[in-house]
Amino acid sequence: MTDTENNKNAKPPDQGMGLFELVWAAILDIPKLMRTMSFAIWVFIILAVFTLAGTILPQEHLTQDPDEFAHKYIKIFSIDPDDGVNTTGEFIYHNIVNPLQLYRIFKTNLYLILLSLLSISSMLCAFDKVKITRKLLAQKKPKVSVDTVKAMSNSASGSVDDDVAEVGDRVRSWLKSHHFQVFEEKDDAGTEWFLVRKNAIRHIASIAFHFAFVFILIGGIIGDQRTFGYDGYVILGEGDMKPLGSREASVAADAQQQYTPDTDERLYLVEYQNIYRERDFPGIDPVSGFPLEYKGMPSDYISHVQVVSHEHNGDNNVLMEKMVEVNRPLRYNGIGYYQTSVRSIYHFTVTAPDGTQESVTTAAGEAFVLPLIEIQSGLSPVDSVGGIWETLDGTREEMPYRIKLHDLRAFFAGMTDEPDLLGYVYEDVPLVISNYEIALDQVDEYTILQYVYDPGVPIVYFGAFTLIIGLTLALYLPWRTGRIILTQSGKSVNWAAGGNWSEFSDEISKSVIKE
Amino acid sequence: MVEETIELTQDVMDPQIALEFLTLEIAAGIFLLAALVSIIYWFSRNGYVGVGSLVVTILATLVLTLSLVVRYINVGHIPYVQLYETYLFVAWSIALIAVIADLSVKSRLPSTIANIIAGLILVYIWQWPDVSREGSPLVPALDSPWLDVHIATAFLSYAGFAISAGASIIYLVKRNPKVDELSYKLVTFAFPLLGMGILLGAVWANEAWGRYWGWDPKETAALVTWLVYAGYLHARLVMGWKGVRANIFNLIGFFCVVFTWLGLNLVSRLLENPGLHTYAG
Repeated sequence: MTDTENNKNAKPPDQGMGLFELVWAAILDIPKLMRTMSFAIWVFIILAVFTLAGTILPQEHLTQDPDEFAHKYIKIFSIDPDDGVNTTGEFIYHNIVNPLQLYRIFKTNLYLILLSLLSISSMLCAFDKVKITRKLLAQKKPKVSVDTVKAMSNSASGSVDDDVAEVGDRVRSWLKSHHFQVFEEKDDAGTEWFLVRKNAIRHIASIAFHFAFVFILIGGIIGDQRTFGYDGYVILGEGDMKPLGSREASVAADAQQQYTPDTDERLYLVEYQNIYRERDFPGIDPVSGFPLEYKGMPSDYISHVQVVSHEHNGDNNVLMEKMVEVNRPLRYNGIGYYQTSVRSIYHFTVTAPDGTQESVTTAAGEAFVLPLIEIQSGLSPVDSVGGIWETLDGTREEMPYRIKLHDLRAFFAGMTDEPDLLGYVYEDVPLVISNYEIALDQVDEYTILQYVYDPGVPIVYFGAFTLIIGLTLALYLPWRTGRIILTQSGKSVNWAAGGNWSEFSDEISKSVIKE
Repeated sequence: MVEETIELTQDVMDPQIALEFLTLEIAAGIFLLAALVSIIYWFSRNGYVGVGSLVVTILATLVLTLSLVVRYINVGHIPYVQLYETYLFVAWSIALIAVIADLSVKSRLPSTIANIIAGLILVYIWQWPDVSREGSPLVPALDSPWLDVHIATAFLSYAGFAISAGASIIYLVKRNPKVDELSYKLVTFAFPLLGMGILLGAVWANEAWGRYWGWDPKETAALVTWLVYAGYLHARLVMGWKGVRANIFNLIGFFCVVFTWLGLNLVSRLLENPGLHTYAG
């Protein structure tokens, strides 16, 4: 600060300082600015505002339907470009939300810059903590009575023939050489008060956990898709063989291109299972033998996958094998494969009373029109069952498919909140609606594995670990606190020293006062 | 006919579920009694009444623990999945932390605050219709030991912040420096716990989905809450804030806690922005 002031005094900006020098001076001032608390606070406030917006407003995801996402914003901000009215919502959307990309705020460079500024600023501030704690010590009132010092858990006192200024100097240099934080006061009558404290581990811990944010941030940047990380999806049907996850594969997928890797390693789906457990359902319908409806959701979905060598096709070429489940990913070559989702494709045939047949293919969760009958129908993603049924005693058996068909006509017309039930199509029992037969021909199950490569994770974890350990140590390690009072009384100095650990008063009396 | 149906339903009610509800109701009753005894203690300052209030608090906590254990057996997982269960778990955490805090700071203040909060929470959820209290199995994504530690630490921290906020309110009324110190101490307890809760959640997310941070609304709100408390601690430790403004800061932090726990659910539903943490029920 002093240097800058001197510079300014010597060379005011408006007299002979070129633009380059001005910019350079400003750049030199950045670290000084960043190590002030008020800078950190302002960055934090700005960050908090953006974060709040990102928390409340829907944020875009790779997997979601862009139209559906856009519709949410249209609804929230009442956007209607055709009505000619510029509503407040539209104004906010066009002037704030859109330019600042608040719909994907956490992925913007602006947000990253703010996070970096906060992390670096907090780290720089932590270095300055010694100065700040001095201010705090001042609040703790070093001026106390001799009795207070004598009442401390370990204290000593006495008198020595000396001058208070010299004893004070000795005390000061001893405290400095022992790295104490010191606050002192004097009065005109020749009394000096010292209030001191130290805990080296606590101080290092404090700097370490402020540093930890920088580690977390660096790990985050390294793992980000804009730098070294990448992710993508592998969709596999039973018996399918697909390329392993890689940056090239994910770039190709984004561009909707076919991708063939150079290596001969592939991901192979041996089997896919939906497991329904009796313990998770209220019971079994005695007539149909199917579980009573609960959520109709499998308790587990498991993909039995292998990493195989593409060139050969025997048993020996299996490089790795794993039952991939939610919470149990496959890890291969530093890439994790996670059971993310499943996709069931149903093939139905509708037969009219006159024998005419027509087929329809649909996926769970989609609405469609039943051919010939022309009924708007739909399948909820969780109302259909079929896969493996595990009874209470743990035995497993194949459970045939039971597909629940909804009648969506009243729902789409806005007459009901919940879709009506059209009926159930069983694997071998068709559903009959006014003499039309709806039969299930086939179900294709696909497993969707998300692959993620994030080389920043170890650095982030290291930062997180340092953060928690450092924080706990900095909050809970006790200070070593001591007080010293020196009073000139004639030609001698009366002294008293006390602290919350035994060596303090001994050391002061042996090494400092009686020297 | 209607009466018969009702009787039938009551007969059919699983005895374990009946036991769960019964223990919850008894616990609610004892917490309210404990709150009453604690308040009497503050007016009388009678040492025996003080010990009595602590004993009743411990008894209430034990009965609530029993209720949680029965629920655990009934639903097959640690009860913190549904909104109803989170209320139960938070009430229990508040009681537990208050008992520990009472014994360590040798004051009846934490338990008094906890008795009032836990009693009110339990009476509130007691009135919920049975359908909202019904348990459900864990969806596969939630079936992980990381989840257990993640939620346990997060809720224990919420509890610490809740008692601290109670102390702050009392400070603002009474202006007693000891209460100021207590509210600060509870924050220093809850703050690292919330940090740990967030980080354990990140580890779990990395295990389950391959990403440790996804800016899910709940994640973000928890982070903001943590940062607000970081601000509070800096205000106290670095800038020397004490008394009224420190305690108001603490209450702002607790507002963030409540928003993260409950408010966000509401906002998410209003804006159709559910995230991964929206509670069922």
